[in-house]
Amino acid sequence: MSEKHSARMKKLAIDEKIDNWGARDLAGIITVPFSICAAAGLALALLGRPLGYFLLLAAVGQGMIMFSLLLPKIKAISLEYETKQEEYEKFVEEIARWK
Amino acid sequence: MIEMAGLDWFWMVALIVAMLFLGVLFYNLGKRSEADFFLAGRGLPWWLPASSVYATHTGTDTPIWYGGVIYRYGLAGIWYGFFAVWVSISAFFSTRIFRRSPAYTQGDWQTLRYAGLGGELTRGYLSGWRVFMDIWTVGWMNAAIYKICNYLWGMDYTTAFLIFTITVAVYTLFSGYWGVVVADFQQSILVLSAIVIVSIFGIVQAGGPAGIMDKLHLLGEGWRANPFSFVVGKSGNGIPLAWFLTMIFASTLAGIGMGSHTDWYTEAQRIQSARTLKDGTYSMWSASLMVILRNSLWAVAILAFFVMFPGIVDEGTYEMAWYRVGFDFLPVGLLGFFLGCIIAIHFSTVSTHLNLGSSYFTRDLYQHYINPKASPKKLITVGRIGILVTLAGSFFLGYMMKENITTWLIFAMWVGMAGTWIPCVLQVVWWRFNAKGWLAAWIANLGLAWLIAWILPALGVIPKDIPDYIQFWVLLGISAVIYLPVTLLTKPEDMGHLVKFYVMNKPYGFWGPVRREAIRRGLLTNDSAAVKAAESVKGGEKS
Repeated sequence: MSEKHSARMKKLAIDEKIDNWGARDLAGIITVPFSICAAAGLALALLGRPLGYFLLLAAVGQGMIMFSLLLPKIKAISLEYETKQEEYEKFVEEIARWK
Repeated sequence: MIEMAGLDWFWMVALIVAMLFLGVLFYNLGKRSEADFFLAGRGLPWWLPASSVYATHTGTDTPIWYGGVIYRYGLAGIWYGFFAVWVSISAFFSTRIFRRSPAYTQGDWQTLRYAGLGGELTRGYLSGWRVFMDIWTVGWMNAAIYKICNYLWGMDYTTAFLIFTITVAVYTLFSGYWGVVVADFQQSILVLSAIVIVSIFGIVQAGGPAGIMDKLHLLGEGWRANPFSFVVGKSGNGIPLAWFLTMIFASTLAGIGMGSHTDWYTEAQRIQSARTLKDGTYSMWSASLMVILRNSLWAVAILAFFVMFPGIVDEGTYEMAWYRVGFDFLPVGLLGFFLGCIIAIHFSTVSTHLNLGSSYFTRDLYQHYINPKASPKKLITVGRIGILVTLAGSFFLGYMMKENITTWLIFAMWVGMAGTWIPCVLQVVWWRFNAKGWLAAWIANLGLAWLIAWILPALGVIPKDIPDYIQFWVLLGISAVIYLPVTLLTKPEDMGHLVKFYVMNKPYGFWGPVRREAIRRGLLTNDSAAVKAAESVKGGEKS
């Protein structure tokens, strides 16, 4: 890669702290299925069963944990980031030989 | 037959006219470009695709199959809605990967992932299958609207199709995805209102929460109010525990993969139509939450129906539980509003699948294989022909499925794609999985799913009453025995193509060799250098 290309690549490089998948993402995956607690919780709450209120609370807790794990990354992936990614992809397409 | 007052007719007709008006209103936007016709210009705020996903997943058939499982299994049937969890997981994972690719459809994405002829074959196969699935989906919407119209007015299948499905086709033909998504927003509000109103009426009619519980106990059916009532071995009531665990496993896995569930293809279109990745993620997650809460309202209303009409054994009759609550108990005026909402439900799902089927027909089959140089105007015309093809095919499939919708839907959602679930995950998480493995899995599954679920039991080769979850695991296992050797005994994808895919999509999982190659080629800087560079760019922008 020429120096000119290398400099442009560095300029367009995306923060890999944001870009890479890590332990927080894995933890996120594990918490998400528990959102189904909301289904059983609301149904039981509508039938006046105490377990329903407990499960609804559990679903709210699950939502809070899930978002605290995953929201920072979603926020980081902003419109600006997406624009940069688009420029990066165009640049890669321009300079790279795929074969 | 149901008696309808003038006020009921007024509400029903007013809602239909309002929905058609939107189609005409968005005609000019729909005809601007191909991106407008299929993706609404990729500029939608999160709540529009969210309401569209929610409205699309709430079809006229949905309360029918949901009514079927809740009437059969009590509240434990609620777990059949586990696929909503798959959407939640997908919101944070596959959405992120799909959104950053330039693909319009999953078919497009297949050629980004796989190289050369293999990539083209996966795209062609998937697109053909997808057109068929959209025809199939509109088919069971036709079956569902027929069941409703037949119950209400004694209407036959062809008349119900001509009046209701053809009407949807009119606004889909003219306004494209803009019309679909804006009408979906309006329809999602109507649908939610109807679900809340009818369910509350049902609960009150059955004697309120305490009345439902008392009647269940009197009938000796108290287990029906317990969502954790499972069959373990051969004892117990509800759904088999093994099926419950299978659904947790399958939906968690599917959310990590891409294309593993029949609903993914609709959602992929909505993810790409959102204005940013964040909007795509929010829309998927909030839609799944709405689906989960909607299911609970339905479940309790169907339980209310059960205590009022226990002991129905005919599947075709008890599937109508939720509709019956509305038809039998709503007062004058509200009945018409409810009917308008049912038609809104029908419109939103049918319009989505007509547009989506047409998108695969046009972009992935016609433009990609027949006429790559087609003008945007030509593509929109072909898109409209695609809608008509989907419409015509759906008429015949709907006729075939007009009874026992629950059975067909459980097959389509869980069993029918069992052999492809893991390959759909592998193509995202494992660099070594190749096009030949993917094709082997899909082709094998196509034959095996029908053989195991329908053909061999009908011929008496295997028992007819094999539980769904056993069918699911058998298909998962047999398919793996086919696609894993095929993958490992054939060459990996071209490394250059994999590097391109990796730097553009940044998937997770086992991509070590490809990542190292991308760094070696200078297409990906190593972590510390990239962070430094990104920080300096940020600093520069601030100053």
